[in-house]
Amino acid sequence: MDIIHRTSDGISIIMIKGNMSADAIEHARSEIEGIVAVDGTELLLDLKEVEFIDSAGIGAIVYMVKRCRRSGGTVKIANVQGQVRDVFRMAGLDKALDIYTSIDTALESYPAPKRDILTGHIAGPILKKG
Amino acid sequence: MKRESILIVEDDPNFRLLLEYNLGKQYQITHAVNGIQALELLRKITPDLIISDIMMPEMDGYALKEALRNKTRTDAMPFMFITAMGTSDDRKRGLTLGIDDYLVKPVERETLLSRVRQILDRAKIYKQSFFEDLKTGYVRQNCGGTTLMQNGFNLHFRILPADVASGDYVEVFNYSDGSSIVILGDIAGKGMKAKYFSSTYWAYLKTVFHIYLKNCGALASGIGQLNNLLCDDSSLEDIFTTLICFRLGKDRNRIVSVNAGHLPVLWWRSSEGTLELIEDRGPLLGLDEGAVFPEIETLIGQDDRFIIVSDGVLEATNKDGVLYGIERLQEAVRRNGSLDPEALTQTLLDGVSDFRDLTPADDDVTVMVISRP
Repeated sequence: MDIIHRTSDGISIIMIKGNMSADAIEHARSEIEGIVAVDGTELLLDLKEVEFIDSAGIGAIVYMVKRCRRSGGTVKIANVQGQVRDVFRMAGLDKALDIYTSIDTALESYPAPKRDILTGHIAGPILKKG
Repeated sequence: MKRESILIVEDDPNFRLLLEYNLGKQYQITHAVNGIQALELLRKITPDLIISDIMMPEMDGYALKEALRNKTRTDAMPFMFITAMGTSDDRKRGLTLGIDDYLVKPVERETLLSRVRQILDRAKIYKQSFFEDLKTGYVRQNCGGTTLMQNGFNLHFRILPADVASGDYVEVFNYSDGSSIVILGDIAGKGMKAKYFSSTYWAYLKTVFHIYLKNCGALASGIGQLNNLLCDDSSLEDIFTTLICFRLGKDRNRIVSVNAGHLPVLWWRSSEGTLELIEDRGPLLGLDEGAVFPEIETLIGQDDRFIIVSDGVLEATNKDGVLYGIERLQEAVRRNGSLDPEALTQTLLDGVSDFRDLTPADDDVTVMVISRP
């Protein structure tokens, strides 16, 4: 399983490639923890390249959602299809999570970026030290 | 069987090739050319052993071991130096860092293989004894049985744990008004954190089912309370649980159920010989505070069966990587639904086992049958 990370207007877009199975999740644990380590992270997961997910993969998504929400951030998910969609439905995640049909529709659901009038910078997540 | 893995950290390409050649037949090898690269790799992999040189550019072996000691996940990872630095001070410095062995180049092949094997065997023995200790504290004893409920329903279940401590569980609460609540649940997650969650979860679950439901009676409301308790507990971040529960009352024509993220109930209708899925459900527990869980009332007939399985059944895979899946399960129930609950349970479990053949199980497998005699 590979994780590709990019940022767009303060949103962390994570594309996961490969199966989200127990072994893959175990190996990616540090990377997953790093993704949600920053308080207030606005996280968008792209599951277009995920063909299979088991309970360990669900656990990883649950962890990211809970961690982000607890620190004031949000998690949205795009491109849930095939077996992944079936598992999400069985676990009731289709009702509990914000799921979108594409990255573009997910990005449109965010409020317009807040731009600093003086610097033109977009406000990002708050970095807390310690 | 999965091969043990070794990460070789060595900047000399010739020596690295020599190590890979000698170890590669028995172990899965990954390599890095210095400590920085090794740390980057260790974010993604968890080798069974790290073999490192000491003198390397950018980050030497000492600094690498120090960095690993500062992280909980890598602190106890088996680690050995193979180095040209052979003074007693060099060796002492290495040993104070908590390494498992220190070999000085050149190293004989037999010595290398023997020392690597010793470290890996020691680590394996430690892990096994650790989990044996864990087993006495956490393993659940109720792996199966048949119970004639106080209200006349028949309950039969079998749990085949994949690990020393099963995440799947079945629990029965009997109340003085003659009703009972039967629960089948699955606590996901492995390792110590999952076992800690299991203890915490049980405390919440028993509180809700002994106190709240005893007095208030509304099953969906009770599950909602349990969900909110789990959502509030920040120590349970990467663990989740699903459950399905059934209230069996004095009226044997009715079963009330609430499903929190679990698989659907397979309802075998005896009089018609047909199978129906009861799919209404709320989300898994501990994710969405304030989540609503639908309460389903089913009017069941004589000899009808409710068949409930854990995800270990559907996710069982064969040697070709094919999943057992819901369709196979439905077909198996259609063929065998008229069997008595104990025979039905065993037949379904045998079907999963035959499908999997020799492929090892990596999750618990549970089948439960509630029937109305």
